[in-house]
Amino acid sequence: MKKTFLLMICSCLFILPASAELDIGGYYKNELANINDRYGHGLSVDVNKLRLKVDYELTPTINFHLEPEYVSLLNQSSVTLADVSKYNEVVWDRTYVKINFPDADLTVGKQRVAWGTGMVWNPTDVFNPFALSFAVAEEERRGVEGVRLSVPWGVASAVEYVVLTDREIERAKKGFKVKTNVNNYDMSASYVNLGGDGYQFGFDTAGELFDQGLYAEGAFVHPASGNTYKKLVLGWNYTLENSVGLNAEYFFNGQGALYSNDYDWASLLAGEIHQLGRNYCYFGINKMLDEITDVRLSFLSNIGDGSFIIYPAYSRNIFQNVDLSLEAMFPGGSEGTEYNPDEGIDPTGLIGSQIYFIKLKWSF
Amino acid sequence: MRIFITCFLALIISSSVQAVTGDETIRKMDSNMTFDTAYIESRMVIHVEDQIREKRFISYSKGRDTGYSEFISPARDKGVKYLKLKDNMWIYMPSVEKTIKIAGHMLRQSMMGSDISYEDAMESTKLLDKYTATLISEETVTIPYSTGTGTVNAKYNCFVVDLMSKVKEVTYWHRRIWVDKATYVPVKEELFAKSGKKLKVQTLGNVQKFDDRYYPVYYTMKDLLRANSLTEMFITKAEFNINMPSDIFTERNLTK
Repeated sequence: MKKTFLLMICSCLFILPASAELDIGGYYKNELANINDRYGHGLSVDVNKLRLKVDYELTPTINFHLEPEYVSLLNQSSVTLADVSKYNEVVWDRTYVKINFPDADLTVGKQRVAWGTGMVWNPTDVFNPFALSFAVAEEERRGVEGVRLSVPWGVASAVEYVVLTDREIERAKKGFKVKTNVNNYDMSASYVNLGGDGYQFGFDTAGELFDQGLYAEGAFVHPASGNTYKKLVLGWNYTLENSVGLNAEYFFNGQGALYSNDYDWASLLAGEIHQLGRNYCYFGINKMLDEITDVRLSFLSNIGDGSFIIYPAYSRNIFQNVDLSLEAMFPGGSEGTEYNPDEGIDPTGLIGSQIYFIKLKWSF
Repeated sequence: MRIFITCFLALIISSSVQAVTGDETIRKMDSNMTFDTAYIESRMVIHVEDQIREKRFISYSKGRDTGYSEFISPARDKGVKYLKLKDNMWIYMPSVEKTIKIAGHMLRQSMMGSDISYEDAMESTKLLDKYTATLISEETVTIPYSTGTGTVNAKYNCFVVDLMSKVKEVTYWHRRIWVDKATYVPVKEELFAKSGKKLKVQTLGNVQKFDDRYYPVYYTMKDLLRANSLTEMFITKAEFNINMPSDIFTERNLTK
């Protein structure tokens, strides 16, 4: 189905009616990373990514969207990166058609389904779950094959239905979300069938109280196998008069373990879960130094085992469409903790590495 | 977003009645800042030391507190959209295909890297609701404006009005506005913190007539807390009191 759909979209691109509009943009990004693993070994990795964004407006109400990307990894082929699934081949990450009906919007194909108000953690985002979103650009989130129907009402309310098409319907994730705005608070409630007997109820909200930005997001999860659990995110943000931005987030992960001895490393390494512990916190501070320069410092901690990640970043728009950023990741904590695992868990020594990044991005 | 229409740019055009008090001057200016509807295309030029960044966007506005804006260039910012509905504001980030609600305090932050804060761009309440106005003098000032190809020094006979905050929830405790007597265009404004420190200076120029209104199509903002920076804005197209589709000012439109 995937190839058929892609072929259909590509065919449409080559049969351009006179009234159709084709818009091609994208970016090239180079990420040079120097990694110091837990054993003190140095490793350099250079990732080059070219990502195109193609919009083809067949009619004012029918739009095809493609985002193919090509990633090459230089210097060290044995390293795997969390946000890159394939190297040296074209990956069609987002390939969808969007049809705007008078009273609804239908999106079919590989797409991003962005649910939740949390900045670092999103318990309700079961379609595109993501880890370390404060450190990795959110645009790297993989698309998912699915059908999404959004039925809006009023100016800020809608019902959204989503069905993933990556497997047979009985095992596929499918659900809906109702969102609205009440007393200047965005609010939503959702239900997702996780496939089989699994399901999840979720909610999120965002607004402000006494000039402080507040948001929350939670989920009650009943997996197809295993115990039910809850996830909750509470967030706060504020901007000082000198325009320094502050952000804090607490994450209760009912799926995680209270003690490090009980961590489910196998599921984490298999990508089935994204956090090991029960309680987490995040603090971020950012300041725009001038119109083109921004600095940011992030701190994330597993409260239970005391391990943490410190992530400073400096970015500058060096030319009109070229951004340079210098970033670093400093994990810490006692041995055997989430961000500093011992040799038995990670013999490669790569988890818990110190990483220094130089990122260059050219948008076009 | 009601970008620059409702805030600094927009204004008055009554030329026949001379204001004699601060309240009257500001009221005339303020009431004429409100359009039934407006469509504006703008080019924003940001100067940072010896570097220049240029951004283009379109804006729709309706009344005083409803607006929609969309950046159309450069490539890195293309597709970023804003929606303001009374006290709510959202930003749509195309890179993540996600709509995010912006809390009020975030409006103090720079808009797209310019000297202009979101708050500056989207101020929607009448000035006299927040400030007490006092006419302090009359002055003739010369204010340069750029036409894009050259610079013109324009001379204005102005009322100078001081605005002192009468509520706590304001970023600028004190404002001083130079209002052109002939057109009631605010051609210059200085913005101060509670401490008395001057924070920003904005100027408006190249006043042109649109139907029965005078409207400045050139605007500058200088954030004095930043060294060597200046943001210029050129309005390249403006249409007022036009018919607009009702779904422009909806969250749905952000994701279209």
